[in-house]
Amino acid sequence: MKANAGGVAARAAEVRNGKLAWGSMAAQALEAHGTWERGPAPLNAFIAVDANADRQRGPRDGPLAGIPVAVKDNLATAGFPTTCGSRILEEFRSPYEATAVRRLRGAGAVIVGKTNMDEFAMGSSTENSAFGPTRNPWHAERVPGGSSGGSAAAVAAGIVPVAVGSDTGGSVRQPASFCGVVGIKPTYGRVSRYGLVAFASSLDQVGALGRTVRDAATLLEVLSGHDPRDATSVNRPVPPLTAACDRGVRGLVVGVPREYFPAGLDPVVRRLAEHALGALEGAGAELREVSLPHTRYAIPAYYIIAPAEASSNLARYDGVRFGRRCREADTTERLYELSRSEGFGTEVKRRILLGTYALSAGYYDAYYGRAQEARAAVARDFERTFRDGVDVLFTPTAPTPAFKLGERIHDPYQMYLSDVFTVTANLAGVPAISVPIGLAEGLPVGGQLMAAHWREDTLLTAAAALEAELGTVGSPPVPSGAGAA
Amino acid sequence: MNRPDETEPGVTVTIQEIHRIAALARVRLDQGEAKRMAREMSSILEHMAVLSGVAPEPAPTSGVPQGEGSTRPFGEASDRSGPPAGEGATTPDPLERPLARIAPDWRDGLFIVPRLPGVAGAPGERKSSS
Repeated sequence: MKANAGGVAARAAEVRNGKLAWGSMAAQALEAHGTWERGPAPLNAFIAVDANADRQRGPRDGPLAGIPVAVKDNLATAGFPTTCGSRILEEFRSPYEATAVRRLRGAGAVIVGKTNMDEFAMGSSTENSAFGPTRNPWHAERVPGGSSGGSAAAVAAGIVPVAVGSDTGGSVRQPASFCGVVGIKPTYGRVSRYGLVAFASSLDQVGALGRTVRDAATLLEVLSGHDPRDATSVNRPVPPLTAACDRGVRGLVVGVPREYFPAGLDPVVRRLAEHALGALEGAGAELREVSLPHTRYAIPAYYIIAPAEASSNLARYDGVRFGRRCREADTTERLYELSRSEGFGTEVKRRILLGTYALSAGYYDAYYGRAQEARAAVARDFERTFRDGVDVLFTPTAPTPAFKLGERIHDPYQMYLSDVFTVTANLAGVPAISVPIGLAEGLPVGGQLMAAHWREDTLLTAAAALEAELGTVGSPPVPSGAGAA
Repeated sequence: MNRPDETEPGVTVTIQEIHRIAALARVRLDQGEAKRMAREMSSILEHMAVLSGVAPEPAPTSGVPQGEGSTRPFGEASDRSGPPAGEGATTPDPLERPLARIAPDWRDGLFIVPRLPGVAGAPGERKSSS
């Protein structure tokens, strides 16, 4: 039996009422992980796995009782390393646990492992991991997206029913799209960032991935809520998110921003997106064409602001306070330089340099100042659109299906363009979700919905309706010859 | 936006600049890495030039939502005829009021700050006998 049959809420209920043994789903997850790793093209979705996860104990009365969950390796987790996919943190074990992980444990979840990711969440393909790339379960020569590629691949492969990721510019939604699963980035401030290793603090947000909208909603409901340990966590009630999946979209106004359907959009992605819009309209939603005119500034603004914040956040990795320490350095200055140079990968160095450049004297106004103005303009576009009566916006999640491993790794700007439809939600701080809308030559394609601040419930209503109309894209074939879980 | 001292055609960030930035960022690059970074950063920054077209307006410092969502919860009764939202319409800043009105005490354009306990002249402070 698959670990997610019936959805996580139903399976947790079975554990609570004694119909299902506590560790049975975790044992299935470990077996499925072994199946994929023994196959001809190992997924490499995990950096660390607890081989005894089925013996972990926790409260049996929680909404995730006995549910195996994978956690992205940039969330501090007791009993596991927290590497961020980087050599510089290869041996690092956090002395404390992230609030998101504590909430999972409090809800009865079993943490089966830490998932692979682009180093410090900088990437869109999970090829930037110091521990090797993750493969897409649908096609071994394709990327799973990134930076939460390990989490998305683990869910798509049926290893775990739900997983936690983080989303700074689309890092939950784009891999969800590439792997045919659901991924939601909540409103900035909805989920605590305490214990999430900082990349770009004004953009980072913990997100949820699941096989279905309802599963993702169940996980997000557990993760959400105020945390006094995170100054950006907002103290406001969390609406019932799973209940929102049942509302239906009759009368819902769906905005279709023309800037997200450019002439050069992949024709299959366009066709599937238009089909999805038709499905929403068929379910009773009203479609309305809208314009978000500052969208063209989003990628340049994001790739100035995020590296600028990263250059500051990553200054702490100096060989003294955290992680890897160069043993050959003879002065303090050389210790810093050599530890960082040996510990960071190419993309992280590139972004640190880009951020340092954008913040340096003579360039600050031209780059960082302008990028902040662009960010404000993007946010105003959203504010105006939602105030004008649009409930949700619908766009493709990514301009293409999953691309080939190695195809973009040597062209940074092409890689950055993978995020062209997702970074705007981070710049504006609004919630957004990716839902599978079909297959293009065997590769999943996702559709993105975005809503106003704190309207995750509306977002999930629309996403669940879309899922109900289109159905899921199914599961990738389990590798043959290794024995199915 | 870049300095004109190019080292290769189409490369606007010089290798010297890369080394200067790398030193600031405490990252060591060999000559080959520096050359590649100069080329890649020049290419990336070329795409950032579009930012010069942004009309300057006040910028937020984070993605933290500033107020209550501007839309009704879907499925609940609401009035859609709220305030018109034209291009460039902004929410009034709740702190946009004369400073004197929010100051505990105000004189000649300056805040009057109570003295700390223990400092001479503080309310209730006993004069020390010498």
